[in-house]
Amino acid sequence: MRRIPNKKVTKNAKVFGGVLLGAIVLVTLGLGIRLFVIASGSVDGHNLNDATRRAFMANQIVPASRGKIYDTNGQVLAENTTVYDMYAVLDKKVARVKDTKTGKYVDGSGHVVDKETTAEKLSKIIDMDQKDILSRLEKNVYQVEFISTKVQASKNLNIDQYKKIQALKLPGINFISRPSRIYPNGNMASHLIGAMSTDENKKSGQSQQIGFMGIEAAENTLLAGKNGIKKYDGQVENVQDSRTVKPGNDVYLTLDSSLQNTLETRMDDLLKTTKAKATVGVLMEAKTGRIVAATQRPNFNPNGKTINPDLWANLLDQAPFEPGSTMKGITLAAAIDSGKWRPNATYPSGTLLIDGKKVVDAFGQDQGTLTYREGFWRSSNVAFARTEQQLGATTWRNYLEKFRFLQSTKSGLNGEESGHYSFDYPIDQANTAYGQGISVTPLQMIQAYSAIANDGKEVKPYFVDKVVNPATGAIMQQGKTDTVAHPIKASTAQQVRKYMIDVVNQETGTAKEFDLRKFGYQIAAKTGTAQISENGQYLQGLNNAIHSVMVLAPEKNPKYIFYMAVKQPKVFPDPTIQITMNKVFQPLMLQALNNSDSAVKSKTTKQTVPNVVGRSIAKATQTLTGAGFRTAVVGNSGQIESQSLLPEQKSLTNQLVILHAKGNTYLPDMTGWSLTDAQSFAREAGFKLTWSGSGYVVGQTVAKNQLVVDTSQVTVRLKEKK
Amino acid sequence: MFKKLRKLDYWIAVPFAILSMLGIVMVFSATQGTTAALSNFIKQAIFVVIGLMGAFFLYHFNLRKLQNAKWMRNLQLGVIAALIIARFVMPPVNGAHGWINLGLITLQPAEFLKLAMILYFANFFARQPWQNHVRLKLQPVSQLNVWGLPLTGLALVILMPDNGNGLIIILILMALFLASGVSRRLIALVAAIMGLGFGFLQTLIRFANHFFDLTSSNHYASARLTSFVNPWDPNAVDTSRQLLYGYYAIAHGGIFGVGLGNSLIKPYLPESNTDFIMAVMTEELGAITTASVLVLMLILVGRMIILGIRQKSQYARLVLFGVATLLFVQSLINLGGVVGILPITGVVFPFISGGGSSYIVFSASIGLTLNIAATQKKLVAIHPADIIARKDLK
Repeated sequence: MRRIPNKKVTKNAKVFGGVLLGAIVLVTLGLGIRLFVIASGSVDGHNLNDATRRAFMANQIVPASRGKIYDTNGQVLAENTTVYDMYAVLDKKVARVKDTKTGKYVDGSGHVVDKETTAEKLSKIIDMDQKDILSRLEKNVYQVEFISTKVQASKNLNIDQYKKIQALKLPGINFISRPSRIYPNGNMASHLIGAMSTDENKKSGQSQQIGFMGIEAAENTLLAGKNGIKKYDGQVENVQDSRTVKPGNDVYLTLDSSLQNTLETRMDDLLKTTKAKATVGVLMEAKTGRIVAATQRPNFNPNGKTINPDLWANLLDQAPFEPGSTMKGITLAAAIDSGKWRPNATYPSGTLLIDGKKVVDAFGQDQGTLTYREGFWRSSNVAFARTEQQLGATTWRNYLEKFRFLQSTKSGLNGEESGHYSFDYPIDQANTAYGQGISVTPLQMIQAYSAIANDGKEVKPYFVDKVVNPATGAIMQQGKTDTVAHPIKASTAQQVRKYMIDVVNQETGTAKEFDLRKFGYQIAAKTGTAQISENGQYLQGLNNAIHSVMVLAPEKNPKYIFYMAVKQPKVFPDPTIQITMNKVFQPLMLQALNNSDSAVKSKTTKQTVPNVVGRSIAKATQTLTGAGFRTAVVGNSGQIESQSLLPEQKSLTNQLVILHAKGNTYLPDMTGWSLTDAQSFAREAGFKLTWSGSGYVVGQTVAKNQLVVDTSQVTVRLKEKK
Repeated sequence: MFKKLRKLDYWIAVPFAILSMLGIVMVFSATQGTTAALSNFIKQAIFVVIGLMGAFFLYHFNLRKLQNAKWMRNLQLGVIAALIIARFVMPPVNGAHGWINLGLITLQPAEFLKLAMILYFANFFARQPWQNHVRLKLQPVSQLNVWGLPLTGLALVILMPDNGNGLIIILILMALFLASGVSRRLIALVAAIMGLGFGFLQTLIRFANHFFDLTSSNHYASARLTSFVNPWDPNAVDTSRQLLYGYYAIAHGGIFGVGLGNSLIKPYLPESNTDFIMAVMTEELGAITTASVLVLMLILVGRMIILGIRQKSQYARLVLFGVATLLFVQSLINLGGVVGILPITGVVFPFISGGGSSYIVFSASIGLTLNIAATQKKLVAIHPADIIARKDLK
């Protein structure tokens, strides 16, 4: 039965059809627009492409482990670790917690329940007291961290702290872990080794660490390696598209930790007594250009802390200053080399007028007539202003360029400054002859003096001994001696060194405090007291000067070049501050010279290292001692499994050979060991070593033959050898 | 028997064919890399064959036989029986009792209920045009007789719970009711309310959230509402993941897509071959392809409505409007959920999403509309040019 609908029903139904069609067209249009908005990559202000990278590509990146940084003896200066940031969830709604292992939710409390107890327990582990922790736990927020402008107690917790807190099983206390860099020696050579900063990887959107100062920055590409990529095709790894991870390379520096350590401790003492605004000190091997020790103050501890931008500059190469009279050695070299030096001619000391402007001698106006030779050891500005006039501005400028001032040394550090000078007027030109009106970096200074030390051969200072692929042992980059210039003749260099002896040996010599003759070494030196220019005006007074010294030792055939500068010391323990500076110089230089002498001596007693693997401990020790080596054993039972000096190779005698056996380790008597020996043993045996002083071990906090384990901490006291 | 195929309405048949083929390809691609990919592909191909057979059957079915109230009641009864089995006998799948597992295939009775509802109410409203005098004549007993069965079916669907299909059934009923001859004023009023409700959906949910604190509830529907309102809330990561990953997929695909089979996100995207197949398709083939799918859907649905408007038979009109509403609302709720303008309710996209019951039902509906279109051609569809030609002949 089919009923013909009445007209009104048909009409209304057709109208509905029209409305429906209109609605459908409109809504479809809306859907399409929304679809294209999302496809364009941004919804509600959220960047979807970044979010996608974070959510998915993160799973695909296989991070490359960063290479380590070692000193020249293989002592670790920088390595990798994991740090933890802690936070406490306070919101009572967080009742379920996700199990990190299974990924499933476990019922239980996800927020802090007992605030008092939590605060009390945490205060024993993190660097914040109970009251402060509690006040944060009582805030009415979703979650809190325990940080303030002063302390960042919940940030960068180390693995020990993390494990301790985890063991407490405190509800609501959570962690985020991330890879981090650890510098076992804290602030040692901080500016040279450098530090890391966090950066966002542009491809994955993940945060990553990159070197941002010192060697960490300069060698970042080699240290960082290359992240691998795992590509997933559905749920199966697609091997073709994957890129295998390339771990970072290890960087070996030219630094010698034991010399560096001496320099650091002595520099700390100097800073304490003088309260200087800044200091810088550097020791270079004269023949090779290897920097064996270098430091500066103020410095920083790079372990997990953000570094104040005021401390970013490496004073070795990034903060040129007017060096003052240490420049006279270069002027002298130029004068001798060009035949304009008349050592026995005389001049009236005190003051010299150039175009109405005064050149004044620091030692006073009443010294009368002096010879130029005397003018050098007494550091007369007038003598060198006159010498410059005799040289002529053009010749002098040529020498400045030949010595490679005013250009970067390209030592391998990032952002080296080249310095600058004023050379327009005769007074400017004369000023540069005694180190004012020209700014230089300590690296440029030691580089220039290397020509004087090496009979005319100028070598470039460098820091990177080698870069090694840890997996294959292949050397990726090899540091080597680079002779960059021959600014002066060999005879000139020898003569300059002779005049530099005067500065040390003469009664009125300005560097007489640095004399090492009683230790059997004749040194050549030049001091400087530079005025500091601020806003076009020179500051007045010794407190406002840069005190510096340049030493070549020994004078005959120099092995080391030492340079240090002390800026604006507040306290003067001695009138010229040189006795205080010598407290840095003397132990450092003696240690360096002694080491190299003993190395030279023992060169004649090279021995083949016997193979003791597989022998008993007693037998191995006996064999090695018989061959002239010292031994220390990790473990106390079974046979020798490995030895630190490879067998069947020629090696210097009296070196420490660390042997590995089974069982517990009992601490040996470390008296007489170098710091490097002690550190190597601690690393092999797995205990923590700290030290005080510098030189060789004279005492240890854990007695010999005591058991040491992973958690043991041993402190050794070091003292210089007499 | 195949003679009738000459009268095939290509405005409906061609989009249907393209979308079905695209569906087979996408179902394979969406689960590619898993062991289920090939079986999903084969299954979908089989469903398409069965669906075409169903369409062919309904294309040739005598429409008069469908206009039998008793038959329609029996159809309702059959689907309700299946719903009861699914709800009370079968174990839940993804938290809902919506499926009957027959071993080889799994039936989803709610899908069949949608078509049964269209046929039932098209027949009812064609006989009982909804005008004031008609309504007054109806007795309470006959009211129960008419509404009892369909409401039971709807209640069972909502009880599963299957809010998405529940909502679709309600919207189909509304459309059929509005097409049953109600006054134009009422049509305008309902259209205005729907428009406003759709426009202010987010605000409404926020408002409800303010009073009832939906976030604290553990009900899955409220979690979906919360993540719909703020998917970026880091505390709702798990409930929002599906939506956000869908966004990521669409953004990753951009306008032109990353190429078939190259989706980065599909392994991590829940229901990638059914509810979220549009996200995978957009990632692989680009927003341009998805927009083309929308255009095809618009042609298909628009054609049904235009045919409906041209119909003389109120029954045929109601069936066409009903099927058009079903296909459109189904597309809207699926894609609207994926692009975040509606809460995610777990319904499939017609023809493209994997799934047997739904494909067979959509395909059968297409067969039905093609049947009507062909009949209409036979009866009334005379092109104006033909009329002129005839006049000329005279």
